[in-house]
Amino acid sequence: MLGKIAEFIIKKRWLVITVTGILTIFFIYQMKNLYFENRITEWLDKKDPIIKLFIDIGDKFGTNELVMIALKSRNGEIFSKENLIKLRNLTEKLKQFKEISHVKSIINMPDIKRIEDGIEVRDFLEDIPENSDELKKIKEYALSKESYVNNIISENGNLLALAIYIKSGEDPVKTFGEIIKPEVEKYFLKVAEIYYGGDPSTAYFADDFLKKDLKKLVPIIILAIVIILLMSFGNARGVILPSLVVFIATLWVFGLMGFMKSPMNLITPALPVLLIALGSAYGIHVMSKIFSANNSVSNLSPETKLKKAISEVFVPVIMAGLTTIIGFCSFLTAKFSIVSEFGIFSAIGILFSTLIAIFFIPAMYRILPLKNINKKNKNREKLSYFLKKISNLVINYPKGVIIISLTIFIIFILWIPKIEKKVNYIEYLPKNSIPRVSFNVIKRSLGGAYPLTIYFKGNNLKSPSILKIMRRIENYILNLPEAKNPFSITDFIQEINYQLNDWYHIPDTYRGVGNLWFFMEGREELKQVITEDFQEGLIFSKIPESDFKFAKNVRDKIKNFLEKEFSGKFYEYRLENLDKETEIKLRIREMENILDEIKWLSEYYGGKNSFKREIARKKLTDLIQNMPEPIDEDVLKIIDEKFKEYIFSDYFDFWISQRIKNELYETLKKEILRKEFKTQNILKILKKLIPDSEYDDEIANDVADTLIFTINEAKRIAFIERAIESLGNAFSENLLKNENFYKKMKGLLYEITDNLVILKEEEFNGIIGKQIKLEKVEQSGFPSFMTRLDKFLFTSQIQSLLLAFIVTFIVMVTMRKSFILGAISIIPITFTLGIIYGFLGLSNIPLDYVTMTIAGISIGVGIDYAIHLIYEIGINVDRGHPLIEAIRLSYFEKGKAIIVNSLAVMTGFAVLLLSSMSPLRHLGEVMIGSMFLSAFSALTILPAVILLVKPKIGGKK
Amino acid sequence: MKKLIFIFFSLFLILNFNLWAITGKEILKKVEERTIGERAPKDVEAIMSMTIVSSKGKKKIRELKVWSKNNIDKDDWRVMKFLSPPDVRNVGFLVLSDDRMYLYLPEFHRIRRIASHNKKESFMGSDFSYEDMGTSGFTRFYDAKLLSENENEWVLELTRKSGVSKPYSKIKMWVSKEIEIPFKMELYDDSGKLWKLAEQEAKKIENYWIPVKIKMTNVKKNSYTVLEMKDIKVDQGLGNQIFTQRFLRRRVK
Repeated sequence: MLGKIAEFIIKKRWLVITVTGILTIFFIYQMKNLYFENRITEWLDKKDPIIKLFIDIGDKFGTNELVMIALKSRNGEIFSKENLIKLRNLTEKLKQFKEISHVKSIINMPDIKRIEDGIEVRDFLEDIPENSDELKKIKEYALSKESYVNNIISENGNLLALAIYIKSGEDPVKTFGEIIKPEVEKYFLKVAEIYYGGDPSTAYFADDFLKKDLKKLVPIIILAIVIILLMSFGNARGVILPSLVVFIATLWVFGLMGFMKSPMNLITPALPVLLIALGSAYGIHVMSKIFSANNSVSNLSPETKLKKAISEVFVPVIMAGLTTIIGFCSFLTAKFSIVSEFGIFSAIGILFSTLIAIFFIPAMYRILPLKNINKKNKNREKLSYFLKKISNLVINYPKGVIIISLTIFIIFILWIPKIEKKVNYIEYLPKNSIPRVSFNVIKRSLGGAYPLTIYFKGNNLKSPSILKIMRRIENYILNLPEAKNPFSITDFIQEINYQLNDWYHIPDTYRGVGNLWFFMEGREELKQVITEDFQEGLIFSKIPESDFKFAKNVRDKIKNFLEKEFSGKFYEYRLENLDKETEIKLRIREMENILDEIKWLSEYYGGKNSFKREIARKKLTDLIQNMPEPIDEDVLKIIDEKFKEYIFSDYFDFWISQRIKNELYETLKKEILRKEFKTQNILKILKKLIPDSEYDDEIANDVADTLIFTINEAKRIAFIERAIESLGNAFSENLLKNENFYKKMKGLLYEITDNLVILKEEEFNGIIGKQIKLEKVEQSGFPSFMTRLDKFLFTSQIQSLLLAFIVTFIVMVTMRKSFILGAISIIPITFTLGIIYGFLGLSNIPLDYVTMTIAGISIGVGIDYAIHLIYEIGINVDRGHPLIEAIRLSYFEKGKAIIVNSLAVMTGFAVLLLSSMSPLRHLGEVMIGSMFLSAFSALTILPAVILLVKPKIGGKK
Repeated sequence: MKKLIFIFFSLFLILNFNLWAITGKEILKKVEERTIGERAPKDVEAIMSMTIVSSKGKKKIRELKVWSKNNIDKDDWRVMKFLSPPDVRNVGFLVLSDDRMYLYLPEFHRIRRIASHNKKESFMGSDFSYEDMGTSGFTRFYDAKLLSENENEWVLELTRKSGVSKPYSKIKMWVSKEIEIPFKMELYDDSGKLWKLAEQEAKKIENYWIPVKIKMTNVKKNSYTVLEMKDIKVDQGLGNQIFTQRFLRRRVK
């Protein structure tokens, strides 16, 4: 069978060469389709529920593909008229591109403010001030706005930011490279330092580094291999033919990637290095066999010798190739597409190398003039000496070799639990690179660029109940030091309510929310936090770090909080028409939830221990049990003001004389004191005082409504004033001076007095609550994403390791038809991996997307040495040599190839040390050690074990 | 002989220099007469439905009752009150001039002034801005040039006058010769790019041609809004008391 294969290769050599040539041309042509994909979000299985939610949110809200640009003036103030005009023009220009969903900068941040008798909702810098005094004022105003600082302006005002959201479905890296970066530089390169943050920009710069890496590393590895081949074989054929194998195989693999439109990424520079380094082994073995057969003393013709060499090298090369392929195929179980695809293409590359080595080298060798090559290679003689020393050591002291090896193994594996996982992508890039420097600036001054979102899905997110739940979660997140600037639809509603009605809170009716919504309809920023049908919404925040530990910490905190919050359902209770006792109990019950929010706000604005909850609870309970009444002096005073404001205004509903207004006002006041302020009584008063010509039932009802509304409002105001007075010592002094805290706290106190209570109890004091229809509340964004990545990294690593081991073992057992021999075969790689992983723990080299490939590559490649050596020992045993002699001979015949091969592979991996990306450098470092150990242990431990165990080796296979 | 030459010369001038040809400015004045001038209704009361269609095809419908009063040579007055959806029923909007606009939020029993900057903002999430919903006319703010005409229409180009604070730098207007009302307008932003497209249909009600359907397309966002008027009543002698904050507080029937 092997003879027939050899015969075919020699006879059909021109066919083999032609087919190889045609395929090479085809694949070279396909390389034009090659492209990079370095977005971390593209590396995971999109069917995974967490990844799917992440992507879905990005689609709906345009939040995942965020680019942050920070600008710092090179000369003077960034907040100058010229720079602001440029920023405005840039903001407008970017918005016009179809690839861009929306753009936020200080130019168009929503500014909701009170004006005389009214309210204004506008873009912050619709008009850019002309003179420096106005600019200074507007800058100070911007720095006073909580939602702006560390978001679109740094705390010191020296940096302005642009947040650019790329539309879902568009290529974000391309959009960044072809649109965003050139546009920003067009306006600002000459006048400002520009910092870029966010996944698309990091991926863009990573692409750049990787392209440079490929251009740098590939020629070096080719040169290195050529040198090794020259040193090993010392002749042109020995250099050119194996080089051609790997060169062609590499071209085919990249061509195949182009053909299948499979992207290149972070690991890709390792691929040609790997293929060239590993693939050269097959060429080396084939050439070695051909030269060995050529140099043997026999009567056979050179062609027959060539056929014999092919027959003898076919099986071990195929087996070696197969086991390496298996090693790479173990990556298929990886949850990261970059790793699984790397595994596939590496496996295919090895397959190509194997087949090209077996078929192409002999075909090419045959068309060249056949001759004996007897030139002695001085290097190979040096190797012979070294191998002689090793073989003597092993043969004479097998037990010693095993004991020492075992001891070293045990020492190293103790370090394995210390291995750290690291998925911090930004740290893969060089320290002074643009993305890393930018990352630190944006993290420090602008809250970072990695989104954290809480996703809500319900019937109608404009429901006051759902909005209050949302606001509660947002206040919790605000207090987390790791999360920055959370915002949601609740911030808009509350701010408008505050500017319009003096209270920073969610109205307790759906119509109240609807009325406030009027101001916000159509604003671009709403799209980022709520869908058009109001069924899905977000709390959007940012985290400053992409480091896994940091992200996991945030994620776990929020996860635990949400699990506790949503351990049951929520129910709403309306207080209108309830008896006073139940009303009080419900308010007191609700108060506990309100105190939670006050506590979080206190800690955020005033630090820990700035709020004494127990004191607040007691005071508020007391106040709730003694709610203000209209006849209370403080309430009366407020009612008096408001009644005057209403009745004597131009818009009072009845067009009546001043005299009648006075009479009405006095009569109503008396009515309050009589404690008879009900609609029917008001209507009676109006009917009596308003002239018949003016009186109208409907208008009278409206007036009554307004008056009752006013009284209720007065009671609430009085409650809050009393609460603030009595709660004074529950807060630290600096806390109450903080305007933002004060505003929010007052809003929360207002909610104690409104008519909506939300509890987790379905039934309270005999009253059944109405279930709030909130279908889903889930965390998403980078923290969840990174945690998923980490889990995948760990499971992928274990799966890959086990799979490679088990499959290799099965293959070895099958090939050798011996369980013992199969088990012995995997001893060198077991030893190697124990040392290597122990070394990772010892040296703090982290496990990441790249270093997780170590196991698969080490097993797949390292096993080759054992295969070749055991096979050679078997051949020598079959030739009639006793075991010891067979081993000694194998050292000289196969040992050289093993050493040359391992040197070639080590050199190949050494080239990765020149990479600009740290994971590739780490891979290089570790694989050098792995290859050394695999070869060394195959030449020491393996024969030592064989000598001691004496398995049945040899016989026709 | 001299007399003949003079007559011939005069005829030549008349025929070749189009001394009697209509100008863009004149056409625009005709439009204004029909819409806000003496040939416009003195007042209008109608039900207006507003259908807002987003770029994703999602529809929202609002219904309003509107009253307007044509104050010739002064700012027109308008009151709009929402009939639906329920959460904005009775929300009222009063326009007395470009910088005097009021909003009534019934849930809070409060009237608030809207700042003049807001005019560029979207009205109720539609593709009409507050500015678009106003009635300030054109001749004060734009220079008009007649681009072309055929037997049915004039095509005007309106260029914003310098120093004027209007959102559209240029308007291309197609005016029907028969009814002297625009049926199509292209509205351009400050950089000269097409921003919105307004298309309207008019109907004769009593002696007036009144736009009964206006479609405003935001070309940049790929969304559009359709305003449709029904139950239109004109010249009812609407009193000034309708155009007051007091009336704004009234519930809509």
